[in-house]
Order: sequence, then structure tokens, then C-alpha cells
Amino acid sequence: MARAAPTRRTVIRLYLYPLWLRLWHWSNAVLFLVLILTGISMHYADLTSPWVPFRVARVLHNLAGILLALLYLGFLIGNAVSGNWRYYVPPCRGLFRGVRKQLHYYLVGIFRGEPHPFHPSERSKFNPLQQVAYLVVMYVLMPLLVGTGVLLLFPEWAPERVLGWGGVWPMAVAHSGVAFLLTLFLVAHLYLATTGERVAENFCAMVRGWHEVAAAEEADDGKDALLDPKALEPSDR
Amino acid sequence: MERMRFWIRRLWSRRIGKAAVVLLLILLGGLLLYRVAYPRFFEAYTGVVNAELTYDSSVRLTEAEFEALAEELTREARLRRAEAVTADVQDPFTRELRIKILMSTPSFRPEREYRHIEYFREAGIRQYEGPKTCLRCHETITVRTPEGTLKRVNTMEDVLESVHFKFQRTAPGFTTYGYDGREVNAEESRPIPVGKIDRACGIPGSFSWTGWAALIRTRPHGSDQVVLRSEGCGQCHIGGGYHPATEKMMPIGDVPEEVKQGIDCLICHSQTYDMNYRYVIQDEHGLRWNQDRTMRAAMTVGLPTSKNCLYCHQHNMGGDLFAHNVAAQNLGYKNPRILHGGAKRANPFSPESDVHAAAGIQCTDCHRPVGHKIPRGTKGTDLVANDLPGVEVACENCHTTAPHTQGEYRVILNGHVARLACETCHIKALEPTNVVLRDWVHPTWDEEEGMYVPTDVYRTGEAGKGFTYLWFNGYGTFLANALGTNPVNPDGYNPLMEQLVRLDPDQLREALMPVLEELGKRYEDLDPETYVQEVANTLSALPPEMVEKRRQVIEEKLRPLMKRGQSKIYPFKLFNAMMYEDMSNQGPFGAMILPFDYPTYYETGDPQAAVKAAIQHPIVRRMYQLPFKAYMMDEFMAYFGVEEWKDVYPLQDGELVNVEPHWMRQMATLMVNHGIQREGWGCQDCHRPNGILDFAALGYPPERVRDLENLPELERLQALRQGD
Amino acid sequence: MAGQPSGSGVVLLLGLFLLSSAGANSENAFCFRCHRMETLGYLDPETGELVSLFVDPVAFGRSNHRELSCVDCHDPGFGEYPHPSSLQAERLDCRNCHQENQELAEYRFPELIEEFQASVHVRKLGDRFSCFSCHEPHLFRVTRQEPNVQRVVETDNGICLSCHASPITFRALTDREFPELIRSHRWLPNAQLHWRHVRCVECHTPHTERLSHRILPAEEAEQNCVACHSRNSILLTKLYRHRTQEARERLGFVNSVILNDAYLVGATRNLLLDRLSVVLFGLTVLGLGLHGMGRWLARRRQGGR
Repeated sequence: MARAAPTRRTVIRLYLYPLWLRLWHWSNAVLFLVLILTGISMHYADLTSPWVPFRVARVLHNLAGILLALLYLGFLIGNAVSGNWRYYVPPCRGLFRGVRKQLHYYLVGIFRGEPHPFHPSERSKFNPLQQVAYLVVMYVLMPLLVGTGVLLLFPEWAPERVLGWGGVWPMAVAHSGVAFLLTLFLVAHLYLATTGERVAENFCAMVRGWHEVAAAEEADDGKDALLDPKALEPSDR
Repeated sequence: MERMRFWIRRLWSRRIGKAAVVLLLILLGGLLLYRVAYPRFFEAYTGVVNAELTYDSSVRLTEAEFEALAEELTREARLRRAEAVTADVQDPFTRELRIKILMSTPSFRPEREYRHIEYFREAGIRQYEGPKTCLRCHETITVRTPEGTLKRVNTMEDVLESVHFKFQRTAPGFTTYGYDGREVNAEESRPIPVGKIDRACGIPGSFSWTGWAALIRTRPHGSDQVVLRSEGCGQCHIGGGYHPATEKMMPIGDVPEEVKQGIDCLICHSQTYDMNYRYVIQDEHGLRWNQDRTMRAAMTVGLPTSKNCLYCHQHNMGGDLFAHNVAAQNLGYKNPRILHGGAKRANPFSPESDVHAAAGIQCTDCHRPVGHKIPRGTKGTDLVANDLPGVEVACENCHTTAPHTQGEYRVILNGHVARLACETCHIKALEPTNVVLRDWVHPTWDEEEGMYVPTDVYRTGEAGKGFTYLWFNGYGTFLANALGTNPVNPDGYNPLMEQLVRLDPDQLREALMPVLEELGKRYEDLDPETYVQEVANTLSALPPEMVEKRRQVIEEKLRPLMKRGQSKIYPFKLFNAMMYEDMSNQGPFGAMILPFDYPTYYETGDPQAAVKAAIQHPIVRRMYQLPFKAYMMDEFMAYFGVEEWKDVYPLQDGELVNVEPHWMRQMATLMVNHGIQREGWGCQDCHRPNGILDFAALGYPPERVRDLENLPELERLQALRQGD
Repeated sequence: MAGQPSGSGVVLLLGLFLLSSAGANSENAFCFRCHRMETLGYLDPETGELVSLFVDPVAFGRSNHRELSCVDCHDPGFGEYPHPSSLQAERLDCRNCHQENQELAEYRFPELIEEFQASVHVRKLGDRFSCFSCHEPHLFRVTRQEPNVQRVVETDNGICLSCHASPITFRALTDREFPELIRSHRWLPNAQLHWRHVRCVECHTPHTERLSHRILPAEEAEQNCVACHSRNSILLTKLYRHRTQEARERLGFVNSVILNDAYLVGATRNLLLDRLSVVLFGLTVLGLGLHGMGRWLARRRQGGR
């Protein structure tokens, strides 16, 4: 409801991000930063390295890693219990078209001042691009990251041989690779969070839990909402 | 009353209550069936008898008798100690005086010679009534497990589950492999009860049910009267019933309480047990073995010593004719036990014949018991149950792998330990009574004892004849053949096609001829030469296709087992017996042998009649019926190398059907581990042509045989010695 | 052992030598007749310990000394049995061969012996410590001949642990209190894992071009993680020295280490991947930056309108 809205737009406040979700999101964020920093410190360890000292980095990385794994477990459980997982399931039809539409908006429309092609609602709070990205991040990359991390922490659990190579180093390569991809995701995630109506809008929503949507459009999308809005997930927009 | 009825009605009025009552009734009914009906059914089906067991030797003493006996036992024990202390005094008179002095020396008298005398005095125990007397104080005992932890166990349960009571094991823990290559009762198999209880054997000629207790009417030389003699497997077993612990063969059920009370605690625990009480008695229920339940025996109880073990075990170690067999000199106040001429292992454990016994080492020093379970060791060729399968009983436990500590050749002798078992050098001979070939089919009249006995056509304790040397990795086949192979040439050694089935006919002819000539007088159709050929080549009893199958089974099923682990050369006592066999159940390694009925055999000398009598025993009949076949016989025969148990009962209309007399298809090989001599074989006893080790038969390649038989080092040593 | 060997014995011995093919191996075959017996040995009356005289012929055949005849090192008197008792006190010294021999120049023995003299073992134990304390000459095999690094670690650490993990052997050499390894290495994360994959001497020797024989005491040993966990890891000159010399040129360090199934945080980095990740990261940031800039410009234009 920030800047002067067109007359037919009234603002509706949606409680999309319940407390557990916001707590999870921000702890996750902090742990990610710690892990990235210490991970880089160890990967680029050197006598003259300006990063965190190796010994400190090792302890911090292990600690943050274990917490992150636990958090991820909590996320899985919370998601399953609250029904939040449904937002991640892409629709059977129109996904490709939707992704193209969203991409077109980011690459062209946004510069022309076109309206967002999709709006979060109680029924569907991610746009198609988000849906695909989050599905991959939360259900493919995260398990890989946590899994390889646990195996590096307990190398005796690592399979003796993977594809004919030793058991530990493929884990390590996979761990670093996935971590790097997730770092890229984090950067993009941060940037795209600024593409709301206002730059800080989405950040505020993730802190307070309330998302603000123009009412007219909301009515189109969300009148037959099936889901409890309390169980909804954050959006970047 | 009114109240109770109210509650019952209230319970009945609800569905859940009704269900509970029905369930309770079913449980009660089941319990009743299990505790009352099942044992009756079991006894009816197997034909075994159980009854209250009483013993005349169990007598109540008066106070005065008790004190007099206590005094006497204490004096006797002290006297024995005084005699031991003065053993090296040469002059008899001096020794007598010294003994007298010691007997009255206060410090020589410990507080108590036998601690239980005091316990009995205080507890008012004046009569020994079997286990229930012991259990008054020893209801539970604390045992130290091989892992070193302490455990409290119920004493009676501990004894009932021991091999000494049930002679079988229905669990893994055998070192025996079937000819089908499977470990007996291995984890993944269907376990069956196996052990001495159900394993027919050519040495006793019977098995535990048909030969449990028998009274034999003998006519000794120079006497017109019939003398009753005792015979049977039960003489050495701690259960006192009318049959072995048959109930323990089944997965359910238990031996009845009256049978538990028949356990003979004192034969193992008393220092003054009198073997003269061990004879067969007959009462209205049948035949069973008597026990010493006198207070004289009870008052000296303690931990078992070698003496206790040897009451029974000297029978199979030294043999009954061994000069220092204590039990064989106390044959019974009534119906004296029959002595067995041929010895099973013929390696006695006694101070006269074994260096460890001479040093005062007790059986339980090596065979360390855990409660009433006693380890047999981790190696074994024969199908005997073992209470503690994983527990090692081995020379190395004490002597290390470098046992020779003195002398010029200690290093090279220690070198031999990698290939030779200690026994190989340190048992140079077995007792001459060692039976190698026992013929049950042609009995001999024993003039002195006045009865027919199986003919031991070959007895010898000599190396290479009475026992041989084989590679052994600790495992054995179902018919007691040592498994193992020459590590230098693993495929070039095959005792089951060579030395265990082919004996030297010339050597045999020479040894057997005198006996065979004697036998020929009674058995006119016995041709000595055919006889020698048959026993010299035991495979001759097999049809050619069966021999081929045997060769194939050895290579496919046994060869991999032979190559397992680390083989060493061990001495093995050799044995074979001619018995009647059920030819319907023949495989490449032998056929099911049939038991003999002792009284018929000993009294009539008619082995066929003895077989007919024995197989009419209800339990043998049951063996040839479907439930028993399904419960264990099929599995048993699979280990035996026979696909399936053919339940064709070999007695039809009073005639034996498809039954033939044969030698077993190979010599059995039994471990010999006692009778250890300090001085072993010397170098040249083996390292010379025709030495006691047949290197070629042991699978060494020809050039190695030449080398081993002509060691250049030895020639040099000899030359050096002569030069000295 | 009085008197001369008799004629027949000598002839037999000679015959045996002639029968087999010439060379050290055939002479050794005679010794191996007894010394291949696994249990050849005796209990030392003084210590009660087992003294094994077993030499594994297979391991000896793989060792660096395989070309030698037994009596090249041992007194020729040992060539006959029974061995003369006068030889029981025989003391061997590696330097007899190694110090002078030009063929062995590459091992730089004089230098090696200096290092050895300066090692903590010799400083603390003096004469009680010799080459044989660590090196069993019948089995000795230089590291570069063993392609499997894991086996190198096992063998070499086995040498150290034969004393340092056994209080009995340790106390036989010194009165010092037996230090529990796990306690003295408490500072080292995942100590067991380290011991399985690197040698004690990686940290317990100074960082020289070639593995030094100067074994360092605990207080002088390397304790800086980054010494190994970095791109110029000291393992390059130590554990992986021989591996890398041949394989590095061909495959690069990472690959050669990977071929040995090892992973080392901070050291096993693929430079290509590292660079690729930096470039990708840069491109992402750049792309997003440009996008943001575009948005800003667009909004200004729209705002202007």
C-alpha cells in the first residue's frame, strides 16, 4: 500500500508467514552465512589466509552444519504437518507457460513497469519460477548438502566406493559443489527479494509475517482458498 | 459369596469381560494340556518310562553315626595328606613314624578337611536325598562367564541344560560338517538335537535308548551259576532315570520333577564316591542305574577333581583294562559292570601316563567350567555336543607358540609348531588295548566272563597302525573324519579316497590272521583272505556309481571345508566296525547302522537276533515313521550324505529286510589329546624313509617328500655327533 | 660345535647349492628351509618375550634387500646348521654397507645419519636405539616402490605404534611414563582419522625437501592445520612426494591424490573448478547488478514521465 495506488486497488493484508516459518527462515539465513564464511575459509586455507583461522572455522562449520541439518529436519516436519508442502508441488498444466511469463516479466516487463504476472494468494503463494527453484533447492540440493555434510562428519559411514572412486572425496566435491550452487541461489534470492512493490517490502513481510496484496486481484485468485493462510510460505516479491 | 457372584455376573455381562473369561479358560486349558496331557502322550508315543526314583543307599544317620563318620573321613583325608608329604622317605619305618607325628601335629591339621561336614552338622542334614538336599543351599550359583562377567544362574536349570545331562545340543556350535557341506545346526539351518544321545556308533554297538541299562545273564568259567552283570550307556551318565533325557529332544516339554531328583550330583562332586554303587537295578518300572547316595559320599562334596571326571571318562580315555582305571576296579556290590576290552581312545589321563596329570593338573584347569557347562575345545571331529563351543582348550593357552624353552634344538622344535600339533610328537603310542577294528557280526565266546563279546580283530596302540597322522583344521565330517589339507599342496591330499579307505593288506593280513583263524573255527564260511580284502578296501562295499558320487562330493562339498583355516598335522586314533546296516539308507559315506540289544547279544551270540530285538524298541520304530522322519531324520540323513530318510522299517514278519553286514566306508578318526609324554619323537623318527609320518600320503609333492625324508642338516648333525 | 664339519655334510651342502640355480636366492633357499617356519623362535629367558626368527620368504622377495644373500649381512658361519654358538652375539650395522656404497649415494647416508643422531629417539635413548628399532631389513622396501599410499601409511605407522601403542615394548626401552597417544593428540581433531590416512612422520619431522630421519618430539612437531590443509600442503613433499613426482606432471596434484582415494580439506582443490566458481559467482553478481541498474533507470524514466 506504499506508493499512491490506482483507485481500484485496495490493499488486503494476508498472514502468509507464521511465526515458526519466519524463525526457521532467519535462523537458516544466519547459519548459511556462517557456513559460507567458514567453508570458504577451510577450502581456501592458507598460512596467509585472511579468513577465519582453520581451527576456529572447523569447529564453527561443524556446529552450524549440525544445526542446519536439524533445522532442515524441522522444516521437513513442519512442512509435512502444516500442509505447507503443497505450495512446492508445481501444477500439472501451464507450468512452462507460467515460467516463461515470469521470466519475461523479469527480463522485459519489469523495466516497462508492467504489473507482476502472478500474485501470492492463500492458494498459491509462489510464482511458477519460484516453485521450480524452491522445489530444486529445498528437496534436491538441501538433502544433498546435508547428506554429504553428515557423511563428511562421520566418514566411516561414507560408502566404501562411489563409482569406483574413494568414498570420501566424491562426498567432499559434491558438498562443495552443492554449497556453491546454494550460495549463488542465496545471492539471487536476496536480489529478487527487492523486486516487490517497494524494495524493502518483502523483507518487512518476512519479518512481520503479513503480506500485502491489492484487493481486486486478490479476489480473482483467492476467493476459494483451500488452505489455511497461517501455513503459508514466504515470497520474494 | 454373594459379592463374588455379583462380580462374576457383572464381568460376564460385558463383552470384554466375557472375552477375558474365555481367554483365561483357554490359557488354563492349554496349561493343563501342556503340563499333564502332553507328557502322558509323549511317554506313550516314545515308550519311555518315568517314575519316582529311590535309592537304597540313601540312609538317615543317627547323631552318633554322623559324628563317627565325620571323624573317620577327616582322619582318612589327613592321612592321605601325610602320606603325600612323606612320599619321598625311603625307609618304611621312618615314614610310618613321620606320618604318625604329622597326624598329631596341630599345625598340620587345617580347621576342616571337608567343609560340608560342618555345614551339614549345623543344618541338621543327616541323610542325602539327591539334588533336593544340595539345592537347599545351592538353589542358585554364581558363575564366571568366559568374558569375565559374573552371572547368577538357577543350579538345576544349569545342570539340566548341560551336555552331561542331555547329551545333545539343539543349537549351533558344532565343529562337524555334513557330507552335504553344511555345518551341523548352523545359524541358518533347521536345528535338530544331535549328540551322543542319538548318534549310533560302532564302538558301543548300540545307542542310548536301546542300550541304556541292561542286566546280562553270564556263565563265567568254572561256575555253574548264572551271574548277573550290568551293562549300558547309563553307567556314565548323571541322569538316574529309565532312559536318557528323551524329553529334552523336543522343542517343548521338560523332564518330570522325579527325574530331576534322580540326577547324581555326587559322582562329580564327592571326594569319596563309591563306584561300587553303580550297577543296574530292576524295579517294577524297569531297569535303571543305581547311585551312591550315602552320607559318606555326601559329606565330602566340593569342586570336582580329575578323580571325579575319570570315574567315567577313563573308560573312553585309558579304557577299562587300563591299570589305573579306578572305576574298573570297583565294579559293583551287586550285578558288577561288564568291562570293555577294547579302548576307545586309549590315551589315559593319569599320573602314570600323562605329564600333566603327574604334575597335579586337574581336568578343570584346561576344561574350565562355566557353572555346570564344561568346554570341549574349539576343535573336534566327532558329533559330540559341546556346552561352550567358543571356548578354547588348547596347549597354546599355557605353553605359548614357543613351548620348547631348553636344549639345543628348542628353536627348530618351536618352528615345527606351525605345522605340527603338540600331540603329534608328544603322544608316541596309545594303550595296546586300543581297538582299531571291531567285528560285531562275528562275536567270540569270552570264556572267563561267560558271555559272547564282539571280536576286536585288531587292537594296537602303535603309531601308524592304531593311530595315524592327518592334516586337521579343527573341523570334522558327520562320521568323524578329520578335515584339513596340506597348505603346500591343497589339492593333492585326499584321505577320504586314500589312507582312510585303503589300508595295507599285507600288514593287515599279518596282524589279523591269528584272530581270523580262531574265528574261522566258529564261522565256517568266513574266508580270511576275503575278510582282509574287505576291510583293507572299505570302498569295495560301494557300487561304482556311488564311489564316483563320493569322489564328486568330496571335491565339491568337502574340499572347500578342508582348505579352511590353518591346518596342522594331528594324530588320530583310527576305528572301524563291522555292523548290520540298513541298506535302504546308504550313501557314498556309509549306511545307517543298526543297534544291538545287549542281553541278546551277550547271552546268545546271535547278532541278528540282537538287532531284531533292539529295533523293536518303540523309539526305533518311531524313527521309521513320518513324524520322526519329518522332525529330524531327513535333516540328519542330509548331513549323512543321503538325500532322504527312507522310512522302510527293516524288520518285516520277524525277518531283517535289506539289512547287510558291512565295515563302515572309511575309518573314523578320533582326536587324541591326553597321555602326553614329556619326551616327544626325535627328528629321525619322522625325517627318514618310512618314518612315522607318511609324507606322500600327507600330500607333499615327490621332491618335497625326498627332501623331508633325507634332511641334509640331519646327516650333518649325525656326522658331528659321531665326530664328538 | 667342536671339530670340523665332516666330509659328507659338506658334500651334501655343496650338492644342495649346486642343484638349485646359482645366485643369492638359491643360497637363501637353504636358510629358508628353517626360517620360513612361522613359529621359529624362542622365549628370551631374560625378558620372557618371544624372539621370532621367522622371515617371510614372500615379503623378503619383495623387499629391497631381496638380491642379497643372507650371509652378505650375517656372519658366513650362519650358512651351516647348527649355527655356531659363538655367533649368537652377532651385532649387525647397516652402515657397513650403506655408508660406503656409491650405488646407494642417492640416499645420502651421511646426512641421514646426522639427522638420525639428532632425532628424539637417539637423544633420549642413545645406544638403545638403532636402525633396526624401526627398520626390519628383511621386509624393508623404500616408499616410492609402493604405489598404494594407504599401505605406506599403514606400514610406516605400524613401525611407530609397535612401541608407542604398546606399554610393554615402550617400558622395555625407557623409564618414562607411557604417554597415551589419544591423550597427547587431544588437540588433533579426528585423531583416528588422521592416523589412518597420514603418517606420524608428516608432523614429527622437520619440513625438508626429503623426509628427514630427525624425528621430532611432541613439542617441536607440526601443529598448524594449514601446514597440510592448504594448496601448498607439506604432504606434497612428504607422503605424496613419490606419487606426485610422476603423477603430478601427468595428472596434477588433485588427481594424483584422488587416484589414491584421499580427500584433504583445503588441499585437494581442483584449480579449474575453483576458478570456474569464482567466474560464475562474478557473472551472477554482475548480471544482478546490471538488472538492478536497469530497474533503477527504468523507474527514473517512468517517474520522470
